[in-house]
Amino acid sequence: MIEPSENTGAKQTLQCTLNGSPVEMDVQLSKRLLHILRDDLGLTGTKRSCEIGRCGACMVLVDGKPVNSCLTMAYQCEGKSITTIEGISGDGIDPIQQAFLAEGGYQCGYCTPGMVISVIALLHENASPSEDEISEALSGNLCRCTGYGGIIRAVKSAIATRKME
Amino acid sequence: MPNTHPGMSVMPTVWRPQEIGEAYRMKQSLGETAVYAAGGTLLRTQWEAGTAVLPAHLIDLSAVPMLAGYALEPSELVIGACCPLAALRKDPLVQTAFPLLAEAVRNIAAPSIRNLATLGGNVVSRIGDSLPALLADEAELIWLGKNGMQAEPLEDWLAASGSEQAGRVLVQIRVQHGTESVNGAGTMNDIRSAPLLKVDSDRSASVRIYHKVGRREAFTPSVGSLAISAGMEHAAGKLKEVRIAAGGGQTIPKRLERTERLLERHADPLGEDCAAEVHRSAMDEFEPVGDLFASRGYRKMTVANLLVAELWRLRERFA
Repeated sequence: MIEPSENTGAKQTLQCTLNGSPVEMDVQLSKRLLHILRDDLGLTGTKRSCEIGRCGACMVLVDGKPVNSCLTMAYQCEGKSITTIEGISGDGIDPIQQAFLAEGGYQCGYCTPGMVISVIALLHENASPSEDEISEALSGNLCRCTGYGGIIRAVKSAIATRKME
Repeated sequence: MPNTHPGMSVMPTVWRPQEIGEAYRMKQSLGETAVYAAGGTLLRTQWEAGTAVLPAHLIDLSAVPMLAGYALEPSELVIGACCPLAALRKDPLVQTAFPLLAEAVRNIAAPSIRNLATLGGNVVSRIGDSLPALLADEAELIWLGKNGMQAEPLEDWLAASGSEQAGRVLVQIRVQHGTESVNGAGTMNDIRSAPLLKVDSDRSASVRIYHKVGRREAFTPSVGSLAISAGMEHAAGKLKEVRIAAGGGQTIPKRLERTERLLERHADPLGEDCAAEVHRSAMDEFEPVGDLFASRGYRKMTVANLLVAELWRLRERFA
C-alpha cells in the first residue's frame, strides 16, 4: 500500500469540478482520488476499505458514471465533474437515501454511501431497471451486514417513488 | 515496501501524450522505468498485491484520439485499445453482432470497474476474460512498434508469450463480422442465456457461446472461461467452422484445435458418444495454470464440463 505521506514528488495543478463547484489544487497526478477526497479535502463520506476496487465503499460519480475512487488517479479527474455522497442532495436528503432509511437498506452503514452512489447512477441511466439490472449495477458494492434484502427493497422503493413523482 | 520502484518512495510521474507517436517515443525514451496506463485498474491491483513494482513513470494513453472509442464498420468492429469495457457492454449493436465479446465483457468485474478498465488493458494482461471470446472470433491486434503499424492475429501473439517487442503499444483490436449482418434476419435470444443462437434459416444456425465460471456468481476471477463459435447445419446435425477457446485464472487462453476438429468431423457431434469424446479431448488438450484457489485439474475439469454442458444444451435445442 502506498501511503499519502510517501508522496514526495513534484505536484501539478488539477482542475476539476467537485460537487458542483470548480476546484483547483496542487497534487501529484498519480495520487488516488480517494485520498484527495478524504485526506486533503475532508470529504469522509467516501469510505476507505479494500483499496483495490473490490468493495465499492469508495464509489463516486465521475461525469455521472460510478467509479471506484481508490482506483482513480488524480490525472484521470482532470476537467471532469466529480460527485461524492456529500454532493448528491445539497442540504437535504436524496429520495434514494430516504428509501435506504425507510427500507432498512443498511446496518453498520459503512457501505451505504457507495451503494447510494451506484443506485443514483443506475436510475439516471435506466429509470425502470429489472431485478437482474439492479443486481448487476450493485455487483461491485459489497455489504457484509444486510444480506442485500433491504438494499434491493430500497432500490425498488426508490424506483416506485420516482414513478409517482 | 515490496511494491515501490527500487530506490524510490515517490509516486510515478504522469506523462500525458496527445498522439500515439508521442506516446511511443516517450516509452522508448523512458525505457523500463515507464509503463503505459489506460484505465489503470489492473495496474493498481498489481501494485497493491506487490506483483508489479510501482514504476517511476506512467504514460497515460487516455488522451490519444486513435486509441479512443470503437467503430462498427461494414465488415468489422474496430475497437480502440483505450475503449472502456462499459461502452462495449452497453451498445445493443455490439451485443447483437458480437455476442461473444458482449457477454465476455458483461462478466468482467463490475460496472464501476468497467467504466475505467479498457479492452486493450484486458487484452495485454494476457489473461483477461475477453480473450477466449476474441480468440473464438479470430480477432486481430494492431500495434505501433519500431516498424510502424503492424497487424498480428491475437492467437499468434498469445502463443508467442515472452517475445514482446520492447515498448510497442497496442492501438486497436479488430473483429470481423461473421456471416450474419448486424441487421440481418433471424432472432437472437436474450444475451444472458447461453447458448447465443441465431437461427438463419430452417437448415442452419450460428452458435455463439460464452460461459465463465467463478467462485461466486458475479465480479469474480474466473475458474474457467469458454467461448465457442460454430455454424450448425441442424437438419444434417453437423457442426462446421468450429472455434473453441478456453482460459481462466492465470492461464493464457488458447484455442482447443483438436477438439474443434473432432466436432467438425463427427457424424453426430451432439450425440452422447461424441460428448464423451469431446470431454476426453478437452481434458487432454486444455492446459490451465493452477493456483491456491483452484488446481490445474479442477480448472481442466471445469472447462471440459462446461463444453459438454453447452453442447448438450444445443442438443436439447435441436432435438
